[in-house]
Order: sequence, then structure tokens, then C-alpha cells
Amino acid sequence: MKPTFRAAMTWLHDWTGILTGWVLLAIVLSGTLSVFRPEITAWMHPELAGRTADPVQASVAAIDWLHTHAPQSPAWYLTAAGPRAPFTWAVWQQQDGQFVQRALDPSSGAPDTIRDTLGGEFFYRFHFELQIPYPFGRPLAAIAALALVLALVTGIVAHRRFFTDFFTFRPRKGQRSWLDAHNLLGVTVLPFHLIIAFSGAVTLATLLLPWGIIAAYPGAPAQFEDDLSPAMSARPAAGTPGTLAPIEPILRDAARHFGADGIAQIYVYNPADAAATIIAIGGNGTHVGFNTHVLRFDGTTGRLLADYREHRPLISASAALYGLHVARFAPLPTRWLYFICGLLLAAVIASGLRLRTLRRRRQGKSTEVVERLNAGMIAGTPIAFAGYFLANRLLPTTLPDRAGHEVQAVFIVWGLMLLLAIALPSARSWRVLSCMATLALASVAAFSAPWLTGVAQGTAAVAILLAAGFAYAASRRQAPANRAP
Amino acid sequence: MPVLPILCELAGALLLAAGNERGSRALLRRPVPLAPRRLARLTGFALLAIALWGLIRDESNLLFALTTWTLSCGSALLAAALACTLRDNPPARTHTHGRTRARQNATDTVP
Repeated sequence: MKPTFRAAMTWLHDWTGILTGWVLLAIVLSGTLSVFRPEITAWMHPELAGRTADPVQASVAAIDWLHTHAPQSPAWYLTAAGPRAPFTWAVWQQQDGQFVQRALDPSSGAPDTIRDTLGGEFFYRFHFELQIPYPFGRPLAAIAALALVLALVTGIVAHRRFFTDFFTFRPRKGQRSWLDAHNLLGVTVLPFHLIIAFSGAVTLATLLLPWGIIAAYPGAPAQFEDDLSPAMSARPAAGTPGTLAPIEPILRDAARHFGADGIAQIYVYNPADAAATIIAIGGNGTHVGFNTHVLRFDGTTGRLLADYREHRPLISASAALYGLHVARFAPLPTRWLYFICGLLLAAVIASGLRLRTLRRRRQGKSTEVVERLNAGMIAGTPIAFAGYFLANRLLPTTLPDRAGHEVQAVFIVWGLMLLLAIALPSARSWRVLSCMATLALASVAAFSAPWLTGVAQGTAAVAILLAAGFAYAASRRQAPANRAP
Repeated sequence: MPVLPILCELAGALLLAAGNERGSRALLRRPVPLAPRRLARLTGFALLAIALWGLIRDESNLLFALTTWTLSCGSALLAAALACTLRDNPPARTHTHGRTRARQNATDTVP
């Protein structure tokens, strides 16, 4: 039993961090990159650099192409082109049941002239699925999100001099400096940390607490989804062939309804059936809440079946929390702030992990294995993610299943970095991996050449700044014997 | 880019740092009495409020403005903390009495 409440909270803070720190670091870094998901996808499609696209025209071209090449798919899921992404992102099902995700050319609607890559979609999916097969990834991410909330709350209680130490950072003092950095990065951006952790946990809450749904909808989880998003449900297939109505007038009508919000997504259910349904989802141009304005059209006649705006208070609150988490509403400066704050959260986690090993070392306990794994995860994760960017440029564009190979590259690099970190003494592994991170990130900046677009310039700038950070870390690494106590 | 709110936030964060005991000692390199620190702190809060008002005007949306303000305040406070670190005078702190140093360490989060 811990003697005081604060001691108990410190103990809980430590153990929560230790048990979930590595997973949280990967989740937070991938989530931070997901803030710029369309931009990363654009960077990974250099064929589309400098192009612009009208969302309606590009969606019409995409649906025409899908009509010819994937009529058998039970549904087409499109994310409309826009100022951030000059392409339509489409997901459909092949005859063998496999789902395909591709960027479609805004003019022709075809994916043939564009390289096969998941782009920013990989980071987005990894953020909450961890590339672990269904249904294990999402619950793990949900537990990690809850652990982050717990770590933050217990951290607030454990931090004794919250306001006194607000502007304190004492460099070159070993463990004291790491504690200062951990506290400073945690406290100054605390509202962001709390909101992002809480909204993340709420987003996956049905996985953590499914019993209410099971009790209210016994044996009919689809009914719950229908009640949750009434306009999103498709009509059952009639079983007789049908032809889609001309799509452009439908989308123009939808764009008029959405106004400044614009069209974000278009779902076409049962496209070759007489009961085809087209769902158009409004964007977040003027509000934080996510997916709160939905239109449903009859796919064969083009008639508007439902114009649904979410007004239920609890679901609106949940949509607002989710909207705050995914930041689709955010204008560019706010998105950059999300990105910076996300990096700071990753730094809080990394400094916490490092602090734990320093403290144990000071207590005379062995930390070598954990320290090596820390190096493998803290420096290895950015290298693996940079490897994804590099694979995008280095793999041949005609390689079959190219997108899959890019993703494999991430895990191969990650595994190699962990092996390297385990093989080397910890002080050396920090230095070697920091140097490799510097090289990998500098290469990403170089591959952004000729730096003509905002996406290329932004990617190069971030990569160079992170590379400089790792170069500084590599230069500061010393052998344990020479390190300040 | 809302330049005026950003400048207000940076100035506000620096004033909050000047209103903090450790922050003021680092920024001004000498201990500052309580009254000026309190004034600096109040002015800092006022500037942060002005920045929020500017953001609400720019964004025309309270929630958007509040989100941006919260995030940018964090970054501004971090910048102020960095300024304190850079301005801090390490030689002066090496003369801290051993017992004071020990007491400081003992009251920190991690012993």
C-alpha cells in the first residue's frame, strides 16, 4: 500500500507509462502524421504534383471508371478531391472479396497512371489498428488511449509544483533535465494532451464498453449503426439489375446543400442494383462536428431521399469530440499546431520512458535491455516511418502490390532497427540510431525535390527539422561513464 | 495567418514567465518582488484574452477560435520556457547552497 495518494498516483503513472509507452509512442507518431493525411498521400503521388481538382468533376470521373471496372462491388467508398488532395480516394471490393484502395486521377478517374501507394492512409489506419488483424488492433489502441488518459491524470497529481516549475528547464543535469523536459512538455500543452487522449478513448469507447449496445440491441448490432447514423444506411439490394442515374446532377445538388462545407465523402451502395443508394457526406468547413450532415439519394432516379442533420445532443457531443480528434475542420495554421502538439506528446512519452531507465540506473538496478529497446523504439519508429516515405520513391512504380510492399518496408526497417538496438550497447545504439534517423529524414527531404509545391516544401522542412534534432541528439550522446549524474 | 493574436500570445506567455518566480529570475537574471510579478502575470493573462478575442474575430467561429487559442497558447508558453532556459545564468546557480539544492531535489516529483 502506498503511503500517500500522490505516491500511489506516481506509482500508477510510472506503470501505465511503462506498460503502454512503446505502443503509445507509435500511435501518437502515426496520429501526428495523420493530421496531414491528404498531404502525405499527395507527396506519395508525385505524378499529381501541381494538379488541382474540382471535387464534383473528379468524383464523376471516378464513379464512371468504377462503373466500368468494379460494377460487381457491393459498394464504392469515395473521399472527394479538394484543395488539399488533387485526387479522389476510392475503396472498393474485388470479385475475390479483397478490398482495394487507390487514388484515382481527377480527370480520367483511372488509377493506372498513378503509382499504387496507401500514402497517408497507412498512418491513419495504423494509428488505431496498429496493422494488427481484426479484431485485435482496435481494442489494443482503445486500451492504449485509456492508458494515456490515466497517465495524464495521474501525472497531474504526481507533479508536485505544477505552477512553480511552469517555466523551468535545467539543461545538462542528467535525470533532472529529463524530468524538467517531461514536465514542461507535458504541462504547457496539457489541454491538447487531455483532449486528444480523451477524444481518442471516446472514439473507441464502444470497444471498451460494448455491453450497453449488446443489452439494447441483442443480436442486431447493425440496427445500432442504423440508429446511430440514420441517413448512412443503404436500402437492401432489390436483386434486380439497375442503372445509376447521371451522377453529376446528384453531386451538384449535394454540393448546393452542403454550401461552404463542401462534399467530403460519397458512398455508392449496390451500384448495379435497382435499389442503388448514394450517400453524400458534408465536410467540416464551418463546424467541428464530424459527419453531421448527410444526404441520401435514390441511385437510380437521383431523387433526394433524406437530408439529415445531426441534432441529438449526445451524438452531437460525440461528433464534436471526434471532430476535435481528427481535426478535419482545422484550417492550415491550426493543423500545424495539431502537428506540433502531437510531436510534443510523443516527446513527453519518449522522455518519460527515458526518465524511468535513468531513475532505475540511479537506484543501481540494471536497465541495459530496456534502454536498448527504448533506443530501438524511440529512434527506430521515426526511421521506420521515414523508410515508408523512402520506399515510396525507391520501389519501381510497376511493382505488383506496390502499396503492400511499402507497408512491409516499414516493418522490415522497424525490425532491423530493434535488432540493431538490441545488438549494440545502449549508449552506442542511441548514437547509431540517431545518426540513422538523421540520414533517413535528410533523405526524405532530398526526395521532396524540386520543392516546388507547398506539400514538398512542408515535408522537406519537417524532415530537415527532425533530422537536425536527431543530429543534435547524436552529437550529445556520451558514454555512460562520462555522463553527468 | 493571424499575426496579431500570435504576437499577443507570445508577449502574454513571456509576461506570464516574468510573473513566475523562477521564470522572472531566469529572464531578468535577478529575483523580482511579488508585486511586479503579479502585475506581469495579470498583463500576461490580459494579452492572452486579447489574443482569444482576435482569433474569434478572425475565425468567426467560437469553437475554431478556442481550439486554435488553446493549441497556440501551449506553443507560446513553451517558447517562453525556452526563452527562460536560454536566458538562465548557469554560473549563478552553481553557487546555490548545498542544503537548498538538496531541499529542492527532495520536493521534486521524482526523488
